[in-house]
Amino acid sequence: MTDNVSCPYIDDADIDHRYVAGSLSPEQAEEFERHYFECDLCLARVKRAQEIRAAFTESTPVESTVPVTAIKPKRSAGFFIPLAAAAMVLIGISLSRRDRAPAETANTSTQPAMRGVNTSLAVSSHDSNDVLVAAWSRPAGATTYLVRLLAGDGALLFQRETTDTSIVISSDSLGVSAGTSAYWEIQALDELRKPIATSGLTPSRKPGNSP
Amino acid sequence: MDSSEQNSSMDVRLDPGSTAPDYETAERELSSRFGDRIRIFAAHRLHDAAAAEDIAQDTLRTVVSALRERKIQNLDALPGFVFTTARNLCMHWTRSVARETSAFHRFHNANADVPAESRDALRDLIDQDRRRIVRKALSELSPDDRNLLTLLYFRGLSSEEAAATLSITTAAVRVRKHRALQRLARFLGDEAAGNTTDDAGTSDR
Repeated sequence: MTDNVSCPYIDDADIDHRYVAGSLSPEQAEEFERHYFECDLCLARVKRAQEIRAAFTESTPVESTVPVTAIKPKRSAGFFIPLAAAAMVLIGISLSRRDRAPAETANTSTQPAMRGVNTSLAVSSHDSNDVLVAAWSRPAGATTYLVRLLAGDGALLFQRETTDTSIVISSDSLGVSAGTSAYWEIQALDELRKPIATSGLTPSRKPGNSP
Repeated sequence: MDSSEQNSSMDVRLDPGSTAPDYETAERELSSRFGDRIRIFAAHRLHDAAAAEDIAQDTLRTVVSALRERKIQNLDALPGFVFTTARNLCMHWTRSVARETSAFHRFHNANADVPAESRDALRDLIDQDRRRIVRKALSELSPDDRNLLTLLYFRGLSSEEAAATLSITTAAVRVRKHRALQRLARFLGDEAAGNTTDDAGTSDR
């Protein structure tokens, strides 16, 4: 097994967090995996990275000052009409962007560049005084989408699974303080509920900063 | 115990010249040494913590059989053999899932109300208590440390990207990451884990 002196990753400060985040190429990931099967130092780094990432993506944060609330939009006609219009606009923008770059879309949906989950899901976000809206592209093979809205500290603000390619959330109901950063993360799942693409973290507006 | 000591102790237990090789103890050592590696590797490939556990058990069983049958003469090659076995089992699992896709698709359509859940298999390998402990330790860090770790571990940025985001140098990111991990290890009461990052960070200081 490799000792600390001969570890080829000893000066690579990114290898652990890039590996657990799935941002290495398949070749880089396999090379590193083969290595950590014989390197205790790198195994320890991966384990710690895995713990930190797991804690940041914990569904029920313990120490967060941001309340965790899953919100269902109020089902009234007055609420839905402008939201539906906004969602349709975003879907249209998303589809027109996809049409303008067909080669890129085809490539990202069928040939993942990164080990783990393809990180190329295109998300458009929009905000108004009352709502947060996100719409995303539909990669080949996707049947459902796991939608998360996360605070800047990783606290989960909202999570829902949907078959739609857009979602609308009432920002008032999130209950976050002004200035809190928020990020959309959309995972496309196939019929086996296996993630096949993810948006990465896409900045939303700051839910507490109403204009 | 360093790696060469691990190999030599297993050498003694599995010495073909021995009248009664200690397979039972060697199997325990094998599991202790490679179990977590295989689980992490398989979870990363398959996105399924339960499948990763199955792959770990199957891999260890296969390796033990190979040891019993004297197929592995040089124990220095053991890590490579374990890795290759785990990789082949993962590929087999993936092919099996692909074959079952159409049947599962029919089943899934008939049971559309599947509850939403996270499919982050690497996260699922960490039990909920441990996640809570680490999350509490993260909350003890300074906002600067926590912000940096969020950029790196949560958003998956490289040091260069984090440096651009924070308007500091890449070297500063690496040093701050190293120190933040050391502080986190202290809050976790895990000095040994803090030391594992020493070598990764010292070259940038």
